[in-house]
Amino acid sequence: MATRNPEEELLDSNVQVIDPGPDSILGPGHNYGTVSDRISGVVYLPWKNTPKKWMLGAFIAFCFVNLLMLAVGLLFFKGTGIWGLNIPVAWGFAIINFVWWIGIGHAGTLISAVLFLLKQDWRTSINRFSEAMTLFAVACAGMFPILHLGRPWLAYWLFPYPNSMWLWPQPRSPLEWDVFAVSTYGTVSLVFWYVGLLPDLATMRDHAPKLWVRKIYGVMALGWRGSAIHWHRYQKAYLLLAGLATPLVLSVHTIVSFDFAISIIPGWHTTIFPPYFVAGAIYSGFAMVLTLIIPLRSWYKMQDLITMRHIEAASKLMLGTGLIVAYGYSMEAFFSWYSGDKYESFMYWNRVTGPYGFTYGLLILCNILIPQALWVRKVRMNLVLVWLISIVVNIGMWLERFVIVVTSLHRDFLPSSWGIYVPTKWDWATYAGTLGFFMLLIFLFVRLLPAISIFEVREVVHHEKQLEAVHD
Amino acid sequence: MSNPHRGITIPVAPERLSSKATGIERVSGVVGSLALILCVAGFFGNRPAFFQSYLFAFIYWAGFSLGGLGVLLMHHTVGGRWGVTIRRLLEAQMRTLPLIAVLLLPILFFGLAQIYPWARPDEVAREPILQHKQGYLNVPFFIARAVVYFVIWLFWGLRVCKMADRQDETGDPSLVNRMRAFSAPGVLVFVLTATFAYIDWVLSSDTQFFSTIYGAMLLIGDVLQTFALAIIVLVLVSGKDGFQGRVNSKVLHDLGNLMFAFVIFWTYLSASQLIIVWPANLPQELQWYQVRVHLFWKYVTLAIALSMFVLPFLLLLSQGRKRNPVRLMRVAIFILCARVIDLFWIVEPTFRRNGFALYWTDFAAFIGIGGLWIYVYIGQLRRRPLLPLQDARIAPAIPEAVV
Repeated sequence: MATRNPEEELLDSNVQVIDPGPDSILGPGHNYGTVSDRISGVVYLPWKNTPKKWMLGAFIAFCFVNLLMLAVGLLFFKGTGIWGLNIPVAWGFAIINFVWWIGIGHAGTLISAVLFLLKQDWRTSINRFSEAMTLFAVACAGMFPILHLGRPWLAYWLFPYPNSMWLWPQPRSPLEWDVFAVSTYGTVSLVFWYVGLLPDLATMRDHAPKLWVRKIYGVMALGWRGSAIHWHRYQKAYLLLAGLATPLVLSVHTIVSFDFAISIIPGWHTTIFPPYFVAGAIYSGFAMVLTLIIPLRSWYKMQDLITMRHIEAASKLMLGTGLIVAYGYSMEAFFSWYSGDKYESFMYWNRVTGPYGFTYGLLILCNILIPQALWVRKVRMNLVLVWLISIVVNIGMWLERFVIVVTSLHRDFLPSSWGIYVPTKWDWATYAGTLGFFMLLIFLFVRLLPAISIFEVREVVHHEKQLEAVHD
Repeated sequence: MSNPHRGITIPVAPERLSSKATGIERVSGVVGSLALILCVAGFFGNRPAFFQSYLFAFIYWAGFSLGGLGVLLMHHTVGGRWGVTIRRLLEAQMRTLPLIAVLLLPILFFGLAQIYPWARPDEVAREPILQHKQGYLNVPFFIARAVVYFVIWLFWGLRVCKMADRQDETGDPSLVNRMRAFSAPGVLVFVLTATFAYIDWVLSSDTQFFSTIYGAMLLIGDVLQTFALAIIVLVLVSGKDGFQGRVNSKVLHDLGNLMFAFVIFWTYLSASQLIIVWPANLPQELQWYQVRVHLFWKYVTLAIALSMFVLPFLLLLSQGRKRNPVRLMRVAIFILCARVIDLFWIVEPTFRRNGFALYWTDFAAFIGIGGLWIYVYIGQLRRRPLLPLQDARIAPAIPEAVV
């Protein structure tokens, strides 16, 4: 390509991009052209200009993907015995990680569907990215229950289909509901994300520097030409998809919570679980959005497109959902005593003071105490602190699932059947491997597709212009 | 989209309650007082029955006061045009809290042993589970908690009201942020105290039952009934011109959507509790549903499923209905009626385990407390302008045709 694209020049220069601060969702001086050029410019950066941090990050993530391959390969070869699972804790890392990953996905759906219906304009520059995060998180989540099956190659048995054995899945089991909840969630998220991408894929096609690149984006854009009829139908379809995706924000994690709550295990069987799981999911999701977006926006000098307004709004939502989670903890604690049930109160006592007591202490610290700093505006305005808190919340939400799964199972009604669960190195390897897989997908996504919705940011530009016209 | 940070203040003409309201106020005051006098007869005639009726009526009407405070704090925290439009109505609901505090007194002085098994020493001596709960459920602590709840609620409610009054006078734009900073922790404190209030006042009337979602379930119902009442009153007081078009189809659509969302939310919480308790089949929990799905109570259960969820859900799906004042008001009235059945079903089966029963005091207490509540509520509405005068976020005055 003869001319350099503006993003390339920006990254090469020493110019600092100005963040317009917490009152604005877009930096100054943008017009339709600059928005398209900057966002598509990230994808059309020549490989030699790719930020070094991207290269390093993608390489590390790739190494972890290899670790995942190794761990899963060994699992196929030897079976689930390589994990630390055993009776009484038959649900260990597999379920903890499943719930953790699927929770992370929720922020994406909330941002893209619910905030769209609520007409929150700040969603525009982070919705595409969070939706991608949802998809990748669901992919990671989906792996765990299948790997946990023991014979993962028979996973299709989970679906009800007419078969010669005349066997059907148990429709009363929440685990079976999960199959449908998660697969629906994955499908709708994918369709929603892809439909949202269409106009931008066409922009990418039109900006493509090489013929073969243009052909690839052209095929993906499904013949989008941007005619008035296209836009008219597109907006209807998008609104309908947002409406379809909204109940999924509630339903998926509600059903995940039923996996536990339908049983009679103290610590699992509690009625607050559905709303508290949903809030926890959104909590961890926003934490992950912040963890990823804060470094990425600085690597690509995107501070004028993803501004402090986005960071602050996400921090506030994180604080709010975190408080709902705290409400859940306090209800659990109070009712374990109030119930007068000795197993309930033992469960709680054991959770706090038993062999895994330290995980509960850390959980309270990470999920409840530290995030309270976000009440202070100065903390919300400090990128380093927000980033650190978001990581603390990610850890806290992982610990929450660990506490729920392990402390409830390891000492149940009969002291003679108590046990201790210790994850093996293969448990950790699988978990770390999915982290790498997730990160690699995120890195590739940022590199190959417009990570910020071009046409929606152009709409924001249009809005700002209208407002200015009114003021003049 | 108007931007509150640009600091445009739109002076709002002070709207006042019309004289028609005075008629309603007087009638409800008189009818309420008469019904309460009848209740006194019930008190001396059949004391347990009287207090069962009284508790149910108290919980229903307290729901408006508590819901008003909760939604008010929520509005100040999250902002939004819908909240500015109904703020005065929410404030008036909240300002009935002193009445609710007074109405709690008969229960505290004469009714504890009639309503709550933990306040009957002979029963406590028989039931180990009640002995276990004595540390929390005992008369002095119960009264102390009630006092603390009201002090906290009134502190937050009146303080935020005062700030709103100052905004009316001075139009100081910084007050929006100050009200937000004060209300956000208020939401947290409110939700916790209201949860424990419901555990105390309603849940503890059942010896065995416990459910971690219980407080949230009742609170969300309060929010729902608050939106329903606010919609009804807003449509009635804003008249034909809708406060010069400030109460327009857009604002109603937002309020209708909020009411719709809380219909779904209420259903979500109620259904979750059922789905979790039913298959587990644990006696301590299941007995709560057992009473409610047998004999005539099962029809009441069915009626609630239809009237609290199915019908309002289907009705509120329509955009046209949410944008039309009269049609939206009809749904809101329907929801308020449905909520009566819902709360009756939550409160009474615990006492009427041998099957559905209605006492005349159920009506007398409901009308008595309701009459007084409406009397005080209208009085509060009259004291202040019906729209905030200097909040930049209020809907602009435009004729309906333009909207």
